[in-house]
Amino acid sequence: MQVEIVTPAGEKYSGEAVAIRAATASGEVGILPGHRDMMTALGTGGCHVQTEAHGEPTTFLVDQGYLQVSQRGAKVIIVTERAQTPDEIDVEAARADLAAAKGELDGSKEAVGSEAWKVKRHAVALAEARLSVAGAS
Amino acid sequence: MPSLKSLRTRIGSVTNTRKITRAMKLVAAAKLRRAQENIVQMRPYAYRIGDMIAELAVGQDADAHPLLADREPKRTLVLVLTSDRGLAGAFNANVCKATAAWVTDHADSRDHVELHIVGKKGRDYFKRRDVNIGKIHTDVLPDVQWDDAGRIGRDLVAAYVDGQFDEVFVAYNQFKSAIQQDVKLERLLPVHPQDHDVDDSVLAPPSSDTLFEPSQGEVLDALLPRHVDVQVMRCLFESVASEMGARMTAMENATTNAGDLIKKLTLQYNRARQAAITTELTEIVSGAESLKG
Repeated sequence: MQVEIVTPAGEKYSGEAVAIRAATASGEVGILPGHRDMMTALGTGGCHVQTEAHGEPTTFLVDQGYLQVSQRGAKVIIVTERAQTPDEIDVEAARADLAAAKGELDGSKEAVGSEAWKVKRHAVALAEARLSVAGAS
Repeated sequence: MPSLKSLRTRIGSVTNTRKITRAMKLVAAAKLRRAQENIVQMRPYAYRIGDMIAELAVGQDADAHPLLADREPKRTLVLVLTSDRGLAGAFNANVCKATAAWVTDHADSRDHVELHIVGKKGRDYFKRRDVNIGKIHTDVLPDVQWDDAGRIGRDLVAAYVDGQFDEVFVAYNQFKSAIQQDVKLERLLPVHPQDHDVDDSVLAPPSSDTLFEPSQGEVLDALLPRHVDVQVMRCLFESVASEMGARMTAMENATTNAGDLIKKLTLQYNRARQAAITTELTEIVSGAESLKG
C-alpha cells in the first residue's frame, strides 16, 4: 500500500509499506493492505511504517493529526502537525522539556480535564513520546 | 545646460540610490528563498486537509456542521493580506484594488461588507476610502508564526459561528514565481469542499462504509477549524513569498534604471566638460591673437 506522511514542513515520507502501527487518540491502530476505509484522529506517539515483511519498521514521532485509509486499503495518508525520525530528536532537550512539563502539570491549579490542563498534559505526552521514539525512555 | 557641479552631485546621488536598490534586491532574494521554501512545503499539507474535508463532507448534509452550512450572504467579511513595507512594485496596489473592486461589485447585494486587514500598506490604502474596516493586524509580518494564523483563524471562525458574518473571504497574492503573483479572492467560510483543488484519485469512490474514530461528527469538529487555520497560514505564506518576489523584481528594475540614468548623466557631464575646455581654448587663442595685433 502507498503511504504518505504530510506535515506543514513538507512531505516527510512517501512510499510503499506492508504494515503501519500508529498511536491514535484512543489507543493504537495497526493497518495492513486491504484495511477497511477509515479516518481516525491521531494521538501523540510513535508511528511505525514497515516497508518489508520481516524488516525493521521506520519509526516517526507523530504529534496529533489524522490518519486516513482510502481506496480499500491501498492508500494511507497521515496528516500531522509534526513528524520526526529518531535521529532528529534531541534527547537531552526532550528530557529537559519532560521535567519542565511535568513540573508545570504538577504545579497547575487548573481543573483536571479543562483546556489549559489538556495543553499541559499534551506537553508531557509529547516529551515522553519524543524520548520513547528516540529509544531513550 | 546644467552646471558641471550639479551634474556631478546628481551622478553621486543616483549612484548611492543604485547601491541601496541593489542591496534591497539581494535582501529580498535571500528572504524569497526562505519564503518560497515555506510555501512549497506547506501546500501539500494544506491541500491534503482540504481533500480530507471534501471526502468527509461527501454524503453529509450541509447542516452537519455550522462551518459547512450555507447561509444567505447578508454580512460579508473579507480578509485582505498586504505587506508592512512598500517598494514592492504593484504588490500591495494589486490586491487592494482587486478587493476594492470586489467590494464595490458586491456591496449592493449585501447589507454589510467589512474588511479585516493584515499589513500596514493595506491599512493605509483603505483608511482613506469609504469602507468598513474591522480588525487590523500589523504585528504578524514578516515572520508569520502558527500562533498568529491560529489567532486570526479562531477569530474568523468565532465571528462566523456567532452570526456576525455569513461568509468570509480572503484576498491575497498567490505565489507563482519570483516574477509572477496572481491576486486571488477565495472563500474561507462556509467551507465548500469543492472550492479546493481536489485530487481526483483521492476523491474517487467515497465508500459508504468508512470507519470513523472517534465519530464522523467529532472528526469534522476538530478538522474544520484546523482547516481554516491552515488555509489562513497558507495564504499568509503565499502573500509573504509574493511580496519578496515582487520586491526583488521591483528592485532589480530600479537598479537597471539607475544604471541607465548614470550612463546618461555621465555622457552629459563629459559633454559639458568638453564644451568648457573648448570655450577656454578659444578664449586663450583669441587672446593671444589680439596681443599679436
